[in-house]
Amino acid sequence: MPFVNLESSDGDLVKVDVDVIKCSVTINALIEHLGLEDDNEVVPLQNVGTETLHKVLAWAKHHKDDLPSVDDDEDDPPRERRTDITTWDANFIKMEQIQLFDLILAANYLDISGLLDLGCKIVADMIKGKTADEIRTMFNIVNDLTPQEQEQIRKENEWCEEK
Amino acid sequence: MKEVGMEDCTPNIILGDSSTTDDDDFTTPTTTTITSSSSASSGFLDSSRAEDDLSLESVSSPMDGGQGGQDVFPIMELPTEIRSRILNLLPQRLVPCLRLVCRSWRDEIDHFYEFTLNIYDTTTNLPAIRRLRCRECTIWKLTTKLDPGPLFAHPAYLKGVKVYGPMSAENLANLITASTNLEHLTLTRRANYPWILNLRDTPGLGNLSELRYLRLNSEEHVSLHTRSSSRSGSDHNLVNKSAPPALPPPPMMDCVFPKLKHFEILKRFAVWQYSHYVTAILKFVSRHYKTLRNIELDLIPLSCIALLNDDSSDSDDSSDSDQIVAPQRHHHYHHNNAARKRRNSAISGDEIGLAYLCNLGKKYLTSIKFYLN
Repeated sequence: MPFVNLESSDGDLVKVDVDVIKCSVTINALIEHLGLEDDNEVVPLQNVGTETLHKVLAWAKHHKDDLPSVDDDEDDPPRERRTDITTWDANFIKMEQIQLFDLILAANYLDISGLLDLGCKIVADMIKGKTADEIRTMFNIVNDLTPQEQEQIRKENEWCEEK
Repeated sequence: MKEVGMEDCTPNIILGDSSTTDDDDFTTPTTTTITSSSSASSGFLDSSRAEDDLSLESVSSPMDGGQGGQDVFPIMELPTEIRSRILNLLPQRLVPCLRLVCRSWRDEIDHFYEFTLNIYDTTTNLPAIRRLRCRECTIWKLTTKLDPGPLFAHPAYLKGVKVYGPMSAENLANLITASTNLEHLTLTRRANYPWILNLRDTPGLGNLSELRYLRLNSEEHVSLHTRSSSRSGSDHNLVNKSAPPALPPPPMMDCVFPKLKHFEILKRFAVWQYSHYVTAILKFVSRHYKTLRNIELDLIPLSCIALLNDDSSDSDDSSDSDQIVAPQRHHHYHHNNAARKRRNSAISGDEIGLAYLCNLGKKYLTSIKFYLN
């Protein structure tokens, strides 16, 4: 079965090479669960719109030959918080905020860790270097902390600081 | 059949035969086909992957480009697990600022952010940090008697522990015995701090099934004992006039860590006087030789070979045995082992006392470092 039909929440059908979408744990599980055996059967994706689905497939096609990530390296420190991103991905992710939001939700629903990582890195980058006020403005968040709570947080923050 | 692109970066999207849909019109049900062919790549596909990696800081984010205008990213509408994932991509130095955004962010950071903590019990606010999700911690001093039970409220999140200062055995047990997902453990004991944790007081740690990296660095107090005989000849039977005190090996040497990849034990004292100690270490290595990729030891004496069984040469059969097997023809190891060359092993020093480990590693190890006493 080289192809599979994906049905978006808008009702559109997208025929896609199984090799392209193998990065999606959800779709692989659906294919297996539904027992699809020919090219005409449909995998419904009720949480992904057509536009977002095309974006997901574009990313998946570009990354279809990527090697699976290695989860550990015994010689490295336990963890580094890295935000490396390729030029292709950086250009790919240039989109409206609401599109980015939908893409992240789709990546989460389809269980595509690489794409979800990319979206999360972009949002994390938005936050970097911003003050609390700027973050509230950027994300339209209401400050519901009382002055007393803010003072308490400032005291507590001492243990957050890396020595 | 025609090819269309989706914005700038869409690879081949081949419309189905019956489709007449415009590129941007997704309102009408359509059938499109995505192939895995990469022959008609978009411009972005032409770039070399190796040259593509950039720091995120050098890439303009969607917020910076002014593309959205009044567009606001609805971060609070994301599922909590995604927001947690985003928060954990941020360096810890930014956390104080984030906790001041709103109550929700403060609570989510406290509950979901995985901290790296330094602990010095006289200055660290232990009650405050115990409720956090700690992923890595470095102990500089932890001798204060604590309440029984795990040091952290969420011990399953603890992945790395480094003990660089004094710590009571009880506190160490409280810290790591419940941390069943611990992957990295470094225990250091310095001789000039005789009150520091002694490795032989450490708990058995048999429950650390995820442990991948074990580093034991110790300057034992017994280093003050002097050797009274030369190291040549039958020095494994060496008896000091002032016999060193009994030195049982750390209990963890009896454990099996099924995922252990890196084992490092640096003991700056004449451990070679304690043949049972050395034997325990080698048995430990023997039990893990299939998973170990890196070994760093400085405790192997020349006399060690005499502790081994010279009659056996095939260590591959020793995986399930506590018997230490010495290889034969170890002098050929350096020159004939193609596997070692492939894996960039760096074996130096006198190979005689090390042949056993070399033989163990000829199929599995990527690096071995030895420091002969």
